[in-house]
Amino acid sequence: MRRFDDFNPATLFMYYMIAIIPFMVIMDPLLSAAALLAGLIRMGIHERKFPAGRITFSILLVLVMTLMNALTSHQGNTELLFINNRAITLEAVRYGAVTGLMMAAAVVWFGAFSRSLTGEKIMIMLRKMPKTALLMSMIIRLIPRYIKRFRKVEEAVKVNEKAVQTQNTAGMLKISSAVFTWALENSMDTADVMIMRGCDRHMYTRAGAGFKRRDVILMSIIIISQLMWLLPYRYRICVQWIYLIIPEIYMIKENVKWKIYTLGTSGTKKF
Amino acid sequence: MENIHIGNIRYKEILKGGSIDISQGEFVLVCGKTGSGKTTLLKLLKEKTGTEAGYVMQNPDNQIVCDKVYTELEFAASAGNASRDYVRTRIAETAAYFGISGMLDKDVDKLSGGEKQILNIACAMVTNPRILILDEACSMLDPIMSDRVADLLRNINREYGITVVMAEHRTDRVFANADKVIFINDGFVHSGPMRQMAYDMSRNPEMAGFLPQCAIAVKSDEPVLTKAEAIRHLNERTADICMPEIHTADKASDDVIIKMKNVSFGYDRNKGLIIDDLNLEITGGSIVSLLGENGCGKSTLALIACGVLKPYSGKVKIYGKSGKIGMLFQDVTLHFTEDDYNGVHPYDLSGGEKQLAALDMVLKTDPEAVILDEPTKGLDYYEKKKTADRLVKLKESGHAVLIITHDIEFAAGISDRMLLMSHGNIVCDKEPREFCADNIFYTTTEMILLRMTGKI
Repeated sequence: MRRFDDFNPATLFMYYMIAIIPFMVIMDPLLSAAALLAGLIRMGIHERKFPAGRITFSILLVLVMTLMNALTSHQGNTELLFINNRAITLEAVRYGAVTGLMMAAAVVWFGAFSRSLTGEKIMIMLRKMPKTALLMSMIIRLIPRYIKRFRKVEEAVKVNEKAVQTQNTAGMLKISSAVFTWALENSMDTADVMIMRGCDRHMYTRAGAGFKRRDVILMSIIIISQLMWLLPYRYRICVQWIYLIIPEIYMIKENVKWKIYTLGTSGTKKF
Repeated sequence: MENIHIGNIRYKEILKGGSIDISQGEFVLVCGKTGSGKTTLLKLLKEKTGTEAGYVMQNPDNQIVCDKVYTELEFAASAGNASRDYVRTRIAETAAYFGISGMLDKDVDKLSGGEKQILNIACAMVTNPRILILDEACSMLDPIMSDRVADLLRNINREYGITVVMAEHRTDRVFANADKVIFINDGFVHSGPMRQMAYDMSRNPEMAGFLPQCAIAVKSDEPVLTKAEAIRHLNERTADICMPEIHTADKASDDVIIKMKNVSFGYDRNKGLIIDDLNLEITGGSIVSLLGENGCGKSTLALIACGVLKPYSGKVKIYGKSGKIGMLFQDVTLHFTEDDYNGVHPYDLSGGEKQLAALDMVLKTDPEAVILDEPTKGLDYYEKKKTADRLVKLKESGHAVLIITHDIEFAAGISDRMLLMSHGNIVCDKEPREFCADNIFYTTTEMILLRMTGKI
């Protein structure tokens, strides 16, 4: 069975951008709510359980944003009550709630985005710039490595030094310089290896994921769906809602296909 | 490719003469003390063969460039503006041969040291070399992994006719399989067929330490390279086992330095305890070594003893005047926070000197007890001897020493007690002689030979 994440990274990137940008830019309560709902459904399916924690977080975020906006912004016509001679207006409350909704949806959707488009897939998208891709790939590896090394040196110093002096600036500097020396020592080896593999003589060939028929279909759907901006508001929201649950629709389609396939081949399974 | 011949090897002050002659498809072992010019010789060889050589160095971490296993192979395979299809095919077949298809999507930092080194060899092989040069490629791995890598190299050599030239300290697994042996003594390069070189080396006390453990354990006219040979010689009474001298304490002191009582520890709530209800006492003036497979909790135990990790339950106490404990980590460069050690930068020292320098840095704070994590990794026979002497001196000055190691020969030579750890607890706690006599796998070469010839 295929998964939605198996589409070409470029297609996935396009899908997510067109899904996320409108609700973040337009600030429409219906659209944000639809995005939040779709995102929560996706998360529930991914984790195979009811996303209670994420829902609580979303509600809290909406409440906090509402409260903050109501207390800090005093513009609007409909006064509800006065605190400290300042008006709490209905408009401010509403605006805060919509902002909170939008932010909650954005958090959920960017989570889904990074789950689908892992660092490796972004690298594949960058394959037309091999040197940048190589550099990025090296940096992604080096930064956690240096942080880990820093922790280890700190540990070694803590165990063996007479007075624990890792917290002050001098101690930190000492550890940093040790990590720096180590990094320089090691980079000599790495440079040797890179020259040995012909880094100075050739460009770095990266294989792409390949643009398949299903990518073309999804891409066409994405492009055609953009005609919705010509539709009246009510229809546009409907189309957008459907657009946001394309991954779920795709999953249902694949599940059905799989079921039919196993029904059809169940006779041969006995052998 | 024709045979490689380098005559009258001279390089600066390091190599002073001699010649080597390698034919395609041979397995060549290079021996020599640290700093004797092995690396220089291998680099000369690499320059001579140019792009037909694959080269693997000592530290597995430094040779990996990219962040993912697949990316790394892709980077190595795309040498010389290869086409995309060529790269894909090379990666597929290389990954299948080395058995790393399952980890192609993994981050390289999630691999163990041995897996990293196998990846490095795969990356060297992906460029289709005729000759594979390895500069102490196994010395930073644990013995089990290094044996696996040695077997892999032998397979590559036997099945595909690729010349393998490797420098190595632990020669047990490779010596008898080598076609040719090169050794470097005082800058002179000697080379010849394996048997003849073994004979020459056994005559030279400066070089005898590089022979397999069997040759050191058995005294005979001609060097004995495998267990089978040794047993044959012993049965025909043409050879004798020379038992190593064991530095046991004359008087073990009674004051406990490290005391661990009912210690339990676990990293993850869902995965159970790694150390479960462990009791351990180490007295002053004794060396205790801790053995066990990887991941059985040896290093965790050490971190608990020196207070980095807090036990989940139980108590750890350090007695003695200062009540302090020092720890020498597996990666000794962690201790090099100063740029100066007796006028030299610690990174410029050789492997064994680094080890002793780091030990000095640990001892500067005057701890009552010292824990050493794998102190013999990557050291040759002579450097091991130096380390052992240093540890015995430490013991005689009343320190408690705990060694975590895979090197059973080393541990049996200097310990007062040997512990075997498994499933989060110590299952065996005996004197070295008894420990080695009772165990089947965790034992020394001498004991295996004694058992197999029916002497115990």
